[in-house]
Amino acid sequence: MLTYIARRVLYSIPVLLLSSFLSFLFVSYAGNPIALLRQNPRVSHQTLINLTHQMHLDKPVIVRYFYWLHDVFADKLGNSLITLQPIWPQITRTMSHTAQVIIISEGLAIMLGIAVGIYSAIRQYSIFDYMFTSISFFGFALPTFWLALLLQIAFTDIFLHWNVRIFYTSGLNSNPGGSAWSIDRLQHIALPVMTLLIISFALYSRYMRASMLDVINSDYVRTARAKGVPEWKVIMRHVFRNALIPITTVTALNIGGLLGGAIVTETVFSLDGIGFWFVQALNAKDLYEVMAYLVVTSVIIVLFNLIADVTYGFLDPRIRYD
Amino acid sequence: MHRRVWFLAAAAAGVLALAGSAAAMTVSKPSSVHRASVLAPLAGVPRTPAARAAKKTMVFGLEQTVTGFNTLEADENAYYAAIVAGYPIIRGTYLVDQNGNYHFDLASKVKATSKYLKIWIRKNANWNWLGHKARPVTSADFIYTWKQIMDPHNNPASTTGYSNILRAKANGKKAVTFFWKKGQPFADYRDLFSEILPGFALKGQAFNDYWHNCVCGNDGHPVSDGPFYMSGYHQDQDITLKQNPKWYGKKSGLTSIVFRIITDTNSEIQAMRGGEVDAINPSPESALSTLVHQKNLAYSAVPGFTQEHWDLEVGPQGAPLLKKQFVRAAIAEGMNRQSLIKALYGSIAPGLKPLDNPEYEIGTNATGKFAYFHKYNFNPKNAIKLMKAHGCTGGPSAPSSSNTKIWTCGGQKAEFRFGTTTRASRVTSSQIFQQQLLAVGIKIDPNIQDPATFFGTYLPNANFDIGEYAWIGGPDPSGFDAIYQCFNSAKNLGGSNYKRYCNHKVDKLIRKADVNLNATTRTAQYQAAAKLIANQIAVIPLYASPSIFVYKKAIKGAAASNNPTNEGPTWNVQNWKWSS
Repeated sequence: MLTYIARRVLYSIPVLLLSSFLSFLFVSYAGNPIALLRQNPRVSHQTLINLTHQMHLDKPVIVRYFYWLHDVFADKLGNSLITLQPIWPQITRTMSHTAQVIIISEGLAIMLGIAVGIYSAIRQYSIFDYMFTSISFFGFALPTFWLALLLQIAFTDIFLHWNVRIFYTSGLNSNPGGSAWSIDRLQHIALPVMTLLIISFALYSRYMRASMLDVINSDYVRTARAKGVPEWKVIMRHVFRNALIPITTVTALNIGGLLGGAIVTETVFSLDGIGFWFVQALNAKDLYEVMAYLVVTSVIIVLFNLIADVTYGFLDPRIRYD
Repeated sequence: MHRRVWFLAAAAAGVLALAGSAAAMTVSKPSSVHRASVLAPLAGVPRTPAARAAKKTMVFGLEQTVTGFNTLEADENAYYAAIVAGYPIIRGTYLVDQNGNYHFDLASKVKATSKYLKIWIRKNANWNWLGHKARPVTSADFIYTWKQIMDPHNNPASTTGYSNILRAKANGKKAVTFFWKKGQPFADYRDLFSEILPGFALKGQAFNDYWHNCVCGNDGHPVSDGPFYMSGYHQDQDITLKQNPKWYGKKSGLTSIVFRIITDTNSEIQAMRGGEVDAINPSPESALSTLVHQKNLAYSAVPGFTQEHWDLEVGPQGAPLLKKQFVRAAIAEGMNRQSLIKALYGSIAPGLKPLDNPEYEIGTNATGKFAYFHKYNFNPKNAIKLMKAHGCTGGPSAPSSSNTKIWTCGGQKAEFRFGTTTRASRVTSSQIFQQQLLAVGIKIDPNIQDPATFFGTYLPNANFDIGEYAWIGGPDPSGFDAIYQCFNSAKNLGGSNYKRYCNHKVDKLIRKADVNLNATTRTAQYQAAAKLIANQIAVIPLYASPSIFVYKKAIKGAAASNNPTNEGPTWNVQNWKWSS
C-alpha cells in the first residue's frame, strides 16, 4: 500500500507541474493586470512602465513562469502582484472558512442522503421513493446562484414580515473578526450551507439508492435471508456496509472538488472563502493569486483522488494495490 | 471491515475538528485583535438598526473588496478605498462637495499665482497616531507627500500637476510654498494634495507597500487627520472605523462605522432590505428598483462623474469612412441615446439625460449654450439625408427596423468594427445601437471583450473603428486633457487619445487653459475646446452613469452625501447621526 501511495505521489508531481505551466500560460494571456489603469487618463506613462517592469510583464511568459515557480518554492507561493502581500496567509484564512462550510454541508448531506438512499432502495417504487427521486432531480437541476438568491429573498422577507432574524444573507459574522464557532457565525453560514446541502444531498441520495439496489440483489444477501437472518440485520450488516464503498469514493471526490471553493455560493453570499478570494483575484488580474489558487486546488484534487483510491482498497478487502 | 469503518469515522471527525480550529483563526489586523466569544455580536456591532442607533454605530455595505488604502498609489487608487480611507481618515487641502465645489479642509487659505502655490495649513489640523502624542499637520507633511509622488521608484496614481512643481519651501510649520517650473503653473491646483501623508509616521516604509491592511504608522498603530481612524481590518470581510477624538472639526455623530464587504449587488439589496446594513453605494443595476420606494429607506440617484462614450477611430488603423465628418454625424444621429438610458436606468435613475458636452461637466449641467452635442441628437431621417447628400448609395430611403441595405460611400461600405467590454450595460448598448444604426443603413459588428483585453491591447493598439467605454472624470475638466490632445508619445501628450483625434486649435486651447489661473477665462478656453471637439464629433458622449446611494431615513445628515466625485458618499460622514 505504501509503495502504491508513494508511486501515486511521484506521478502527481509532473502532473502538477504541467498543469501549473498550462494554467500560467492561459492566465497570462487572458489579461493584463495593469490594463484597467489605462481607463484613468491621469495615470502617467512612467507609472505604467514601472508597473510593467515590476510585475515582469515585459518578460516572455516562459521566464515569468520560472519567476513564479521560484516564488512558489522559495516563498510559499510568493506575494500578490497587486497588493504585494504574502499569499500563503490568505490561502489558509480563506481555506479555513471554506472548510467550515463544506464540512458542515457535506456532513449533513451525507447523513441525509444515505438515510434517504437506504429507505428509497428498501421501499423501491413506493411514494416515498418517487417523492425523493423527484426532489433529487430538482436538486440536481437547480442553478446554485438562483437557489442562493431565492434563499436570501425568502429569509429577508421572513425578517421583514415577522421581525425575526433567522439567518443572515451575507458575510461571516456580524461582529468584525467574530468567532468561528458562535451562534452568529452559524446564522451567517446557514444559507450557504443550505445551498450546498440541497445540491449535494441530491447526489448522495441517488448514489446510495443505486448502490443499495446493486447489493440488495447479490447472492450473499439472498443466502443471508435464506439462513433466516433478520431483515434489519441483513440490511445493516450485509447490504448497507457494502453499499457504502462506492459512496465513500464519491464523497472523497466531491469534498475534494468543493474544497477548491464553492465559487458561486461564496460569491453570492460574500463569504470569505477560497472561491470568493479567487474571484477577487481574477477580477484584479492578479496572476500570482490566481495561480496560487489553481495550484492549491490542483493539489487538493490530486490528494482527494488518492484518498478515494486508498479508501476504496481499505474498505474492500478484495482490492489490493501492487 | 467493521473496525475500518469506525477508523474512517474517527479520521473524518479529526478532520472536522482541525478545520474548525483553523476556521477559528481569522486574521485580524491591525493591532486590535478581536478575541470573540459566542456572545461576541452582543458585545460588538449590534445586529439590528435600532440597537446600532442606540450605540451610535452603523454598518455600510461596500461593493468591492479593498486591498489598499494609499489612494495616491496607482494600484490602490480605487473608489471604494477612497470611501473608506479618503475623507473619513486621510484629509487633504480641499473638500469637494456633492456639487463639485471646493471647500478648504486642512488648508485655511490658498494662494495660486503664475509663480507659486502657497498653502496655509489650518492651525488646529492634527495627526492622531494612536499610542503617540497628537501632533500638528505641518508643511513637512505636504513636502513629503509631493516628494513621494515624484519619486521615480514609486507608482503614483497621477503626477499631473505635481510634475509642474520645481521646488518646495516650508514657511514655518503651518505654511508651505510650491514653486512652479517656469511657465508651468497648474491651473487645477485645487486637485493637488487631495490627501496628505504623515511622513513622520511612515519613516522606513515604501510608498508602494504601505497601507494595504490598515491606515497606520510604521509601528502598526492607526494614524488619522480626519474624523475617524481605522481600528480593524479583515480582508474581504469588513473594515472598522472609530471616531477620532483629536480631529479638528466638530465631533462626529457616530462613534464607529463598520464597512461590510458584500460584492454581489443582489445580496447587497437583500442586506439593505433586511436591515443587515444601514447604507449602500451600489453600482447602478436595475435590481435596485426594489429599493426605490421602500419604506424607511432614502434613495438617491445623481449623474456620476464617468463619461460613457463612443470613441471613433480616425487614426491610420481605423476605417477610412470614419475620417469623414458626415459619416460620424450620421452615426450620431442614427443613435437614440435617450432610449438607451431609459432601457438601462429608467427604473433606477429617472431623469438621467444624454451627455451633450464632450468635456466633462458635473452631472448633466452641459445644457443651454454648453450643450454643443445636442444638435447631433437622434434624427434618423437626417442621418439618411446626410449619407445621400454625400453621394453614398445602396442605403435605405427611410429609416426602417427591418432594413438590411448598407450604404456604400466611394466604394467603401458603411460597416464598422465595434469593440466594448463584457459589462452588461455595454452589451445592451451594442445591441440597441446595432439595431438603430442598421435602420439607417450603417452596420456595426460588435466584438465584446474581457475588460483586460479591451483596455490592455484593443484600445492602446488603436486598431479599431468604434469603442465604447467610460472615462473617469472629476470636477475639473483638465483631467480629460490626455483624451483630446494630439497623440505624441515623445512629449507624453494624448496618452489616452486612442481614437487619434487631432486638432491643433484644441491643443492650443487646452495648453492655455492648463496654465490659466483665472477661473472665468479658463472655463471659456475649455468650453471653446469642447465646442470644437463636439462639432467635429471626435467622440459620441452617451451618458454619465448614475451614482446611487441608499441609506436608512433614520440617518440624518446624509441627504447631501451622494457625491458623484471620486470622494463618494462618505465625504461628509462627520455629519451623519442617527435620529433620536
